Amino acid sequence: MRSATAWFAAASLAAAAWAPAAKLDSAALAGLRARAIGPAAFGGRIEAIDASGKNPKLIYVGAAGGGVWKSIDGGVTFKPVFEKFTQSIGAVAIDQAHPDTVWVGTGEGDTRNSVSIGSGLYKTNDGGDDWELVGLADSERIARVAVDPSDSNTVYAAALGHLWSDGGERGLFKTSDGGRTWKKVLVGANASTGCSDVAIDPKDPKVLYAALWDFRRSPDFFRSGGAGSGLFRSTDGGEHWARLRQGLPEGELGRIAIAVAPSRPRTVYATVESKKTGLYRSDDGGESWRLVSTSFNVGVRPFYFSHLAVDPGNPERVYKPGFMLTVSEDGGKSFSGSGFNFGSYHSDTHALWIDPANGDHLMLGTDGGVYATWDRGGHWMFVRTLPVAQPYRVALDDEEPYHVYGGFQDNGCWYGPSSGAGGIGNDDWKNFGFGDGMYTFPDPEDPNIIYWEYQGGEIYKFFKRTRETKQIRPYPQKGDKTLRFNWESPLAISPTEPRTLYAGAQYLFASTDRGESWQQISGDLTTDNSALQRQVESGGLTPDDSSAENHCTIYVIAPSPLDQKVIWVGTDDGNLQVTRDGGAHWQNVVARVPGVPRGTWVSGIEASRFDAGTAYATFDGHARGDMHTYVYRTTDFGQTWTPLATADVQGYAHVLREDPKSASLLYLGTEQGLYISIDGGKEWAQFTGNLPKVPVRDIAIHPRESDLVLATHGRGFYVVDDVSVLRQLTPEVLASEVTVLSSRPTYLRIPFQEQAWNGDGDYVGENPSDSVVIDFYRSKRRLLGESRIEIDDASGRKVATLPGSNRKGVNRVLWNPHLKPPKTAVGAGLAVGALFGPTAPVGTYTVKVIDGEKTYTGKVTLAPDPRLRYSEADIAARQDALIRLYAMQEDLAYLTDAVTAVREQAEERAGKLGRTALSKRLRKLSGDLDTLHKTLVTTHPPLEGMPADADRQLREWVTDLFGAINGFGGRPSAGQLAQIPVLGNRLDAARKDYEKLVAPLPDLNRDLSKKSLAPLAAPTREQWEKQQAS
Amino acid sequence: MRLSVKGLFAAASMALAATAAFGEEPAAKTADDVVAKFIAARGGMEKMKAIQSLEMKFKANQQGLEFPGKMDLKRPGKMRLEMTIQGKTMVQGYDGKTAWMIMPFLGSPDPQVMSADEAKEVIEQADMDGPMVDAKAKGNTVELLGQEDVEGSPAYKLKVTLKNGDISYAYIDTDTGLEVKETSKRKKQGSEIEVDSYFTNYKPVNGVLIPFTIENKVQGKSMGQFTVDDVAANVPIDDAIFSMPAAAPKAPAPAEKEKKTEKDVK
Repeated sequence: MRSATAWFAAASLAAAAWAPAAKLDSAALAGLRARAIGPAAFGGRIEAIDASGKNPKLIYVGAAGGGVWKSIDGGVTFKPVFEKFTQSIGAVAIDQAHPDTVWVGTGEGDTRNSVSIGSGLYKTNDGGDDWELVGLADSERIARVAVDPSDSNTVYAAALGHLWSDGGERGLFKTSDGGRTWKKVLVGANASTGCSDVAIDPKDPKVLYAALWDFRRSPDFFRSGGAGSGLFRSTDGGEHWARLRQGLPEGELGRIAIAVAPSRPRTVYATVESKKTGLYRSDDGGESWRLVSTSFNVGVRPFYFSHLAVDPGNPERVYKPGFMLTVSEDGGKSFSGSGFNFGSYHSDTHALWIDPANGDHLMLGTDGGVYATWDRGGHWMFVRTLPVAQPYRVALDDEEPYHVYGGFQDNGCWYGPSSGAGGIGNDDWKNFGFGDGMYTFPDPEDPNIIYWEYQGGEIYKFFKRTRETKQIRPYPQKGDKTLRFNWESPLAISPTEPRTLYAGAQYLFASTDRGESWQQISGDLTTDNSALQRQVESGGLTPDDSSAENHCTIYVIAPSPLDQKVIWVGTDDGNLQVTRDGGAHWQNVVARVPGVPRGTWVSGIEASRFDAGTAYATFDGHARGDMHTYVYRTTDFGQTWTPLATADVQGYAHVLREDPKSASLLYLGTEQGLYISIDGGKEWAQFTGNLPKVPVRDIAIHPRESDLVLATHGRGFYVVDDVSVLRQLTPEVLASEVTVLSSRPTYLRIPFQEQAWNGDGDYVGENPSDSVVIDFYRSKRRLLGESRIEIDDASGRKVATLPGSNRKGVNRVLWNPHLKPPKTAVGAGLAVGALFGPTAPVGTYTVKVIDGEKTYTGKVTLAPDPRLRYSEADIAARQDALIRLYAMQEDLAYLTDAVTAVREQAEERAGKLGRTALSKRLRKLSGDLDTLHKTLVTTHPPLEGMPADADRQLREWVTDLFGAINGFGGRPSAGQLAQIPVLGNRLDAARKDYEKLVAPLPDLNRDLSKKSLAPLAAPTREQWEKQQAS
Repeated sequence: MRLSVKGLFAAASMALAATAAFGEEPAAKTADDVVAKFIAARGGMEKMKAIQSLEMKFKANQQGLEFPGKMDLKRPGKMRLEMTIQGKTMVQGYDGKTAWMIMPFLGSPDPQVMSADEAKEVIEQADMDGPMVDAKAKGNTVELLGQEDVEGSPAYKLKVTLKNGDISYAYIDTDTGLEVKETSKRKKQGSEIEVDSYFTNYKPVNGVLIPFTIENKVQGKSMGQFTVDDVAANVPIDDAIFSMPAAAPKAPAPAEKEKKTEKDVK
């Protein structure tokens, strides 16, 4: 049995003997916290919604790329509960018998080109605090989870399996022991078939309906339907299955969605994709079926709109979420037109929840977020608290604060500020593009122009001031019928010639007049393999030509920041091309990249800022079933390539960015997150600081602020503020116990408090801190013993002490740059103006990280806000005014305490004396002091904690003036400055009054001592100061 | 405001047991193992229980504001917390029966009985040893959920379910056995607030380690820091200070005059 002392000794000895290994790991980076900035003004694709039938305030939402969100207040606010796991969600099911138990199937089931991948089936037993992976880790995507209403331990999971290759866990899986073991109960006929839906008869839970779906996606093609598809029924809880055929279409089937009418379970509906897709209905528990509708929304894009629902109380009311939500009131015979209330909610609807106790209350999940209705779709309320947007690209401008621009899956293009009043609100985001937003960036010279595009090469420019939009896409020239643009077609601006734009189809185009005209500057840079150009036939049973499978196209354009004639191009069919003469000659260098299978999609190229021959390339083979991470560097214009991906990096690679200042600092975005290397790619550490496990599609670094901005496909934008510290993480620093790092200067800012009481129903993106940021590196967590941070001004005077920060790795501590607040006279109500001390003067401060006996020092700079051009004289006038008012407040505080002390003593002595001449003198003194006291501070009852307005006394005037001058960074107004001596004179007069009143104290005290009473005495200033400090 | 002393960890004299074996401690397997390790890290039950009362002076830093405060704890389960702003003192107290507060800023110097929701927090703070110690006797349950990274270093994650149903998670540093973080979920007016408290700067007090810095965060953002300046253990504390006082006495002479003034105003 070990004693406590042994524990402690062990800990301290271990600390002493600790030998540092100078390797950057995730822990070292996690102290740099990414802040989520939204947007939530619009949503992202929603795949699943479930709520508790007994308590509809409890809601779970599963986003296609944005994780699982829980609301316990009926959808006013949501919080993310699935941050540590893949954010791609296919299914969410609450165990209605025990609503703290929730099942989450990861991996989106609506298999569009841009879907992510899942990692299995998860279960929580405590409302989402803790999750356990319970199986199907290799299913890649789970389309539905159904809990047996009569037995919480029996659960069915519809596993689709791999989208881009054979294999993985496919079919219907069943557990009878709460997830401990799983049995595959329904298997497809081939390796491209999985289970796409399952429904349980609520009255007889042994009766199950399940759909198998034969499907496959490749970079250039999608197939929905095949020999494996079919509709099945089991009547013994999944032991035996029968394929249902009677009345259903002959021939190959595609995707099938199933819904059992809860109030009459013999009635079952199914949308069945076939040559003639329609809604089928059975009234005999699936035995026989009849076609009831082939209306538009019933048949539209069956692979993408895979949900069907029946009203809980009315078996004839059927909902089909499709392009719009459509409803039938007559058992499927007729459907509402193009949906109801077209336009008020986002199109492309995927998930629908119907309140089992109130069929008028629905929640709808769309490509643009979650909506709720309480009048059965008459009117919808948008949920504005879910930051699940799916940007493809990110760009920044150089305004102050800078703006973040991006194109979003099915939500057009938007820009918003990197900080806002009280946070970045939904209304701070401005929309300007439509469709599936892709590359979006401001013109580097004309802030009125934003370039943007939607899918398939539709390029526009937007004029901010007038909100006009002009199409500027390149058109096919001679010989070509069409141009082949990728879904995410590339658009780039020349870093050396800001009026030059590049766009890529199969050719590279350049424009030197802001897109007004284009010149083709290459031949076909792709393989032009006709076998891979099948977009028109793509879709399978239902043609689906959305440009998502456009292939043999340019995907990346990377002009060199150093040499205008050097341009890199990568194609989706695996060509990596470079020109060194502005496009006259091109060389395909992909064969020189070792280890990448031929034809692998080039996902990213970064041309170095430090050396014209250096570039980085990432490859992404996931759409051919290859999930490897491919990252390379060349230093000789592509003649040789070095692999940079290590075993520490997971996920197929999207983008690599070089730090603008440090050539060895690299940022890598993969499907599994953000990775950082400080040694040019030899070692990588995953960045996990407040960043969920979300795909990082694009990365931008703000050159002025050194902010790292991430486009995450499912959680909007994240900002890691000031990554300049990473440039300082040398091996020596990593080997040190503590090193104070230098951070970017902090601008002295007085935050604006906006009056906005909008309730809790709006998302607010996080602002950067207004405080001074102190960064230091610590090699090991420190829990024991004194640890603090002191800040000294240039003269060596200590201006602040902060508690120590003790995490392993980079520690980020905030110092709110205010000096100590003045001591304030005690009066009725808070003297708000005196709560904060004066803002600290701008300048350089010394930071001391003090660990017990050891002190580590560094510097931080508090700089004037560059937007505010106050002269030094103005700043000095403000500082001088603050110092004078500060001193006046402390003088007044002392005077007030002295007055109170003598008054109370006089009252007390008088009380002991009874009615005597002496007591009369004492009471007279007390009364006079009380009268004086009432001129020093307000004594009226405060209003809501604040001093009564009509009873402003000296304290209120002085503290208000102090607060007002402190609340503005420039020269105080002439009126304010003139007021200081006025108040000063009042204070002097009060002091004189006091001195006059206490002049007779020696006489009084003599008489008091005759009565054996203690003398009256105010504390001296010195005593008072000491008392205040304790 | 939340200054919890649930991390009263046993101290262990630095000088002692330098020869003790270390580095071969098997990974904790059960919640009981982790709690035992945690109690051991505190110096053991004996030293902890030997502390009958604590008087702590601290500073609260909240968004650039700094307030001095004082917390008194006494067995069994009594607490009093004071924070002073511009000479006015906010008080929360619990004497084992009634949780009460004085909020002079809102204009009333009179003590008020706390709502049941607010009282829960105060009652919890009054438990000097924290909910994991003598959990069974207190009606609390502790489960080990595994290991998790906390601020870059591994920690055991314990789920603590209080008798009243409230849930918190305690994170115990696998290395030292000290508590590094606590996540508490509080139900308030039908809502739920999740607060993460981080504990550092452990120093011995009467042989028991106490975290001298506590930082509270909500969704990763700092809500306030509490830094202990001074602690005295086992000084006599009058039981009366924990009980709800009668309404504030009115100051004699000036009060009379104030009444008049009030009338005048009307």
